[in-house]
Amino acid sequence: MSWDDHHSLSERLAIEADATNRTGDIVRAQDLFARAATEESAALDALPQEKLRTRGITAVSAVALWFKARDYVAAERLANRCLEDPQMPHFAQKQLRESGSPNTALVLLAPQSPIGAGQEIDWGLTSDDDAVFTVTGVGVLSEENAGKLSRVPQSIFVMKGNPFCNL
Amino acid sequence: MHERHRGLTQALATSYQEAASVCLNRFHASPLEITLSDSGAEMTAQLRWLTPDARMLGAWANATDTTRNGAYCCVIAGVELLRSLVAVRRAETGTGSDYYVGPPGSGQTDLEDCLRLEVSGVSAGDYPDVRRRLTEKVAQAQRGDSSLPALAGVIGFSAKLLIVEDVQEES
Repeated sequence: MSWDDHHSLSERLAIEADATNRTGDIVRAQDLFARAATEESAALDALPQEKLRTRGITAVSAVALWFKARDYVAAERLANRCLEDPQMPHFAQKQLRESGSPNTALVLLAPQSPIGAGQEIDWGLTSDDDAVFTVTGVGVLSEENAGKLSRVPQSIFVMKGNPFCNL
Repeated sequence: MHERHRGLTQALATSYQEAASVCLNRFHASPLEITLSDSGAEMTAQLRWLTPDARMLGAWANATDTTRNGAYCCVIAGVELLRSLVAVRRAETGTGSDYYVGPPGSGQTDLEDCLRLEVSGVSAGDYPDVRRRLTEKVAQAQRGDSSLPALAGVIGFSAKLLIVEDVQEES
């Protein structure tokens, strides 16, 4: 199969995963994201070395999909493999490095008690034990980002490996 | 739109068009003449849309989602008109706000001709608000990556203004 075959299948699976996510079926959505990530990774492997821009975009997409599938091991493994490739374009290197960094998420629900750095929180979307993240910091919402929201969030947490980055 | 834009399915294009009609309906009636500005050069274009009914307005009651999706519709259409570029694929980066665009026919075997497109919409602001948002989007695109060519596009639904600008690399 070609890059386009794998990539087109990945896109369809990711669209279905997003739609499934919105229905609340998180487990099935994760499975679909994992299948999308597998296809995008295969698309990356199907590309010749000289397709630099396509390789960069596809690599970043595949890692992002592994994060959405909450398979952080696969995400990190692929990101590291791509970063070892000296031909990987600069923009992709930058995004791949940032993919393993703490990132920011809005939390719209009020926690039962105050949460600070170092505490673990259960994301609460599923009963899956993996949905627990360590808070590395608590942030302040900028006026600009607050204006984009239909509801004012209660808290902003910075979390390592957070797949729900929305800022 | 889905017939020309490989990055849009029919369902997605229909959804974006519905959102755009709701956004425009907040302030205007169809047809409407708007200003298109591309790196300082201005032209006008006429927008036509079906007036949304009560059901559609209810379905698009979330203002944030509606403005974002309406902006995708208008900015992607504007980039096609101004630059002859079409949406090739959605960027799967987790930031959730941009597309890759390229010449018609691109994206079938690779993405070598593609540019990043940062999209934003301003619902109720006036001309300076739309300009200010464009400045923010350009800065965001510059921070996002500096070696992949990018465009930023902002639609002001109330302001009747769509601006597209190249994102210059940070020096």
